[in-house]
Amino acid sequence: MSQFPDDDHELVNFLRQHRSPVPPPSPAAEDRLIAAINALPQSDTVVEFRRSRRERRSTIWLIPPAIAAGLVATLIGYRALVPAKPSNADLASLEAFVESNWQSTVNNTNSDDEAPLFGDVATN
Amino acid sequence: MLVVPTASSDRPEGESDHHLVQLCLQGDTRGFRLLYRRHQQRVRSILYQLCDPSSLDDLVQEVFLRAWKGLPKFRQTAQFSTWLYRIAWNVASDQRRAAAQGRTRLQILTSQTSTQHDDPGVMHLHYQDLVKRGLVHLSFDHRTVLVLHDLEEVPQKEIAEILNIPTGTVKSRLFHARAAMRQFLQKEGVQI
Repeated sequence: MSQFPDDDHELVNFLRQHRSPVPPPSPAAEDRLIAAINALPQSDTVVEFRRSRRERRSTIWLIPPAIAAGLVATLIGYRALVPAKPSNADLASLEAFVESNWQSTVNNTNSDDEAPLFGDVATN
Repeated sequence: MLVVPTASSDRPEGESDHHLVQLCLQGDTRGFRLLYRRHQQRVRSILYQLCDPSSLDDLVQEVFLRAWKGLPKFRQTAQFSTWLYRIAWNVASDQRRAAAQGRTRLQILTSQTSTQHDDPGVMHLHYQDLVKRGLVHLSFDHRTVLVLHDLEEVPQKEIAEILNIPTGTVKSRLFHARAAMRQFLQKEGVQI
């Protein structure tokens, strides 16, 4: 990384010594400025400052209700989406269905799987 | 007891800029008057080195008007002077763009030097003219940094905040601005 020297005293002194003097302000400059400020519509600064403060305050008041509403919505959504626990009778019928379904699937596979394959081989 | 200041009796000098800004935000233009008195000289000097001097009063007024309007957006953690100098730099940039279509720099210089005939030393006058021309000779970025740092003695860190650039860039611009200024002076026969 390149380093730049901080001081160049001779040059800086020369510039300061020979800088042009700044002309003094017009005596009425200050009053002219204040008059220009007073001529601004209902003092822009104050109105805008108060408005921004009011807006900030009104936004802050919205935060707690928004958090509460969010929590309620989460709770309701959770209850609606998670299914209720099934009863013992439901579980028993489901178990019976799965078991009978499985049995029939296994039995069908044993009889059907071999016949077409070996049938093709035998014809060759 | 509340002391109501008039144009002739200022508030105490010890009142901080931040306190005066708070007063301004409540619509108190007297607080702004004091801020103006406190900072106008520096603002004026910066603008004088960067802009057309013929409209200096108007430019200073423009800076303080923009400051008044922008006070609600002023971050209270920042330094008021830094913020104000940034506005001054913005005004100078705007004026520079507008002036490019109007009077030429040479005309400005001619009128400026011709109004300073009452200065006693001829050499001093000559050097003043050289410094002025040297500043005009620099790019606006280099000139800004040189004026703020070497003439107005604003610290590099604050210049970085005013111009919204890294401190390293301030150092680099200062280095190149000085080199260009030194080269210009040497060309004009000045050995420093």
